[in-house]
Amino acid sequence: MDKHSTFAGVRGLLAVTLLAVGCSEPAGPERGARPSPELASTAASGIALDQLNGTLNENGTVLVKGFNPTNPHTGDAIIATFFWIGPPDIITSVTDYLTTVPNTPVGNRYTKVAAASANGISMASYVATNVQGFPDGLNDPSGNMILAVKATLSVPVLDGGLMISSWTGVAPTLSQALGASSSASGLGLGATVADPGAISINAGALAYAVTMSNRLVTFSSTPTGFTSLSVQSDGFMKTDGECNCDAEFAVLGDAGTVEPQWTWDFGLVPGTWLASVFALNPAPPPPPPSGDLTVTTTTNGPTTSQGYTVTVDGTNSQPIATNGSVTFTGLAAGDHSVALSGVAVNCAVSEANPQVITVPSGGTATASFTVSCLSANDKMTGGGKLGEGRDFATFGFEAKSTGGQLEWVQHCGKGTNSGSPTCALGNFTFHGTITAGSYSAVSDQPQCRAWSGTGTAKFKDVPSRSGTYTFTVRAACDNGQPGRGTDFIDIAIGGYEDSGYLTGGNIQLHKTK
Amino acid sequence: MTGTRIQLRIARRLSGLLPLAVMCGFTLASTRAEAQTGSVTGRGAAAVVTTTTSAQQFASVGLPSAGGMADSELASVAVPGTLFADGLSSITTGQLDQMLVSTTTTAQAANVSVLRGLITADAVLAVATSYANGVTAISESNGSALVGLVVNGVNYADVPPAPNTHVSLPGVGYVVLNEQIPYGDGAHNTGLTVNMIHVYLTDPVSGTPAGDIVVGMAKSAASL
Repeated sequence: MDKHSTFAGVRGLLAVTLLAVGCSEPAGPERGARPSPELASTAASGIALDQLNGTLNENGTVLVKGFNPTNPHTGDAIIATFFWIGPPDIITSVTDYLTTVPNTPVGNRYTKVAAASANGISMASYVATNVQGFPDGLNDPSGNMILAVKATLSVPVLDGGLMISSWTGVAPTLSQALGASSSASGLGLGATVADPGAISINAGALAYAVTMSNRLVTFSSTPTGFTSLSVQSDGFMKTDGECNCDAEFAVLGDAGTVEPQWTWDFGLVPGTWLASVFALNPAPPPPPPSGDLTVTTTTNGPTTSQGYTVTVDGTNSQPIATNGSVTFTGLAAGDHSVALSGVAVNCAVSEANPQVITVPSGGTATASFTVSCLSANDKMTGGGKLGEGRDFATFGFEAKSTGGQLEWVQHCGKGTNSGSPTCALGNFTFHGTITAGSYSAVSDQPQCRAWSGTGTAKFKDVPSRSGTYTFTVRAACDNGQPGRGTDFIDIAIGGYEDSGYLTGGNIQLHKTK
Repeated sequence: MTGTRIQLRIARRLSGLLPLAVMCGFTLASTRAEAQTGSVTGRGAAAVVTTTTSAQQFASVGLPSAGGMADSELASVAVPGTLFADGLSSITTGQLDQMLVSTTTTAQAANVSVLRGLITADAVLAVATSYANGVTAISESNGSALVGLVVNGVNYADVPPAPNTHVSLPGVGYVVLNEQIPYGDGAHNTGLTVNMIHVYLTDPVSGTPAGDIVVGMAKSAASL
């Protein structure tokens, strides 16, 4: 193989092979009497062949072809490969228009991405991405609204043509779409390998490969792993000289390297070949579906806070008024952690904090935080007894926003009693420290307060259970005097639970002093 | 029972039982002085053993004058020949504000044996609660308990005996069960001492006081 060599005096023969995976839609009939190209197969990835057409036996200073009878889809990428017998670099512009009368310019931008020329034959491939401005996918047998692609040449050619194809799933901008490219040419006798060179290719990208020879001969092999998109031969050019062209394509699942190779059977007469390969990258995956999250706060009671902070997923924070709302936009659909911070110690959040909120795709989720603030003087003290007979508990506590303490003594007359809800573990004493900020009002029960903390339990009958436990007073209620029979407490210490009205003692809620 | 009677009782006890008197000494004088602006008092002890020469308090607590909470606990106590008990604890809580003063003290012990088994109880609990709102001042002992009580071989039901039940202990003295010592005017101040088992020891020869043993002592007082 002699790349970039010249072979003067031999007229061109165009042969184009497109290898495509996943393309099945046939090309429309040719404009005029030129033979239609053979069509290729289907692509299995995001890039797929949409429309295909081609023509040879053109001459003059214009090479043009429309997507008869069906337009591409808007957003497609269009590849236009021009073949001609003549010198290189004579294409002054590539444009498109609608086949109205008169023609209507469309204005998509075509950029040369690969070219080769040797011994009087030339080819060049142009790409336009994200094409717009034509009836999307219109099937128009009348041919009046068909998108056509045209190359204007600086000098007339005696024979030429083009192959146009449109592809869905290609990246919308050329900078994103265009991958590597390589072109080469050569001269040979007998079986001659046409090889444009190897290029790297990204996963899911389209490898478009095209070859052209100046003699109407056959292939003994086509690129391995590629699918033939179209083989065009030019009887006129054959008569006039000879032209063979072949285009092929492949869409690779994984990133790698491709090096398409054809074997032209030139026989005893030397032949010249041109070959190009280039890659078009797929459109980037769409961003994950997203939605919005609106967080609202409602604050009841006195607070010194000027506002709070809402944090989503631990990192995305916004300030929020004590009674206000903020919206987080563009969150990935799915579950998100939403936390409210900056709450004063005399205030408590009624809801779980943080909350887990599911943001719907394309929608808006809401999260609400209700902050209940107590007077700075608000506190509760109490002591007394729960239960009667041989199993009873005595307790005392002092609870306020800044903390406090709680003592709980469970007396079990018979020691452990698995049948007793309070004496399963027998006698114990518990001394707890109330966590600052846990002291809070109880919804709809203004005489009740709740709090939590940790402490140490000493079990008399089951010493092995002694240790540190969390505790929660779910409600302690001052319902008046005397507390006996009216005041109420509901407590959980580890797995121990007890609740009821006092059988002795009193609970006192102090709002002022 | 009037405040005068309490003062007389304390004065009588001071002659031989000064330490106990001191321990019990939230005095009416101080209570009355504080009544002008409101005051709260709470004291408790799971057990107290007082002789002519010494006084011992077990799991005792005192409420801060500003209110709040105090607690004390003791796994067991052994005063040979006098008192054995376990699970001793006392808690006192209370607070005062402009509208109400309230306090509660609890004191308890389990598996009690006094004077080598002369008196035994499975559980002893004293509860004293007082509250005053400027118009009414009330104290009560509800919740107090004596469980499995046996005095000198006599079993008692698991309900508190009547307040101030007097039982003679020949050769020893006597015991007052569910002893309650209230005071106050019922309007602006109130107080209550609850001693669930109060043994008054007397000298078998001279008949003079020789000491006290108290199991389950809770005191509360409120004024406004």
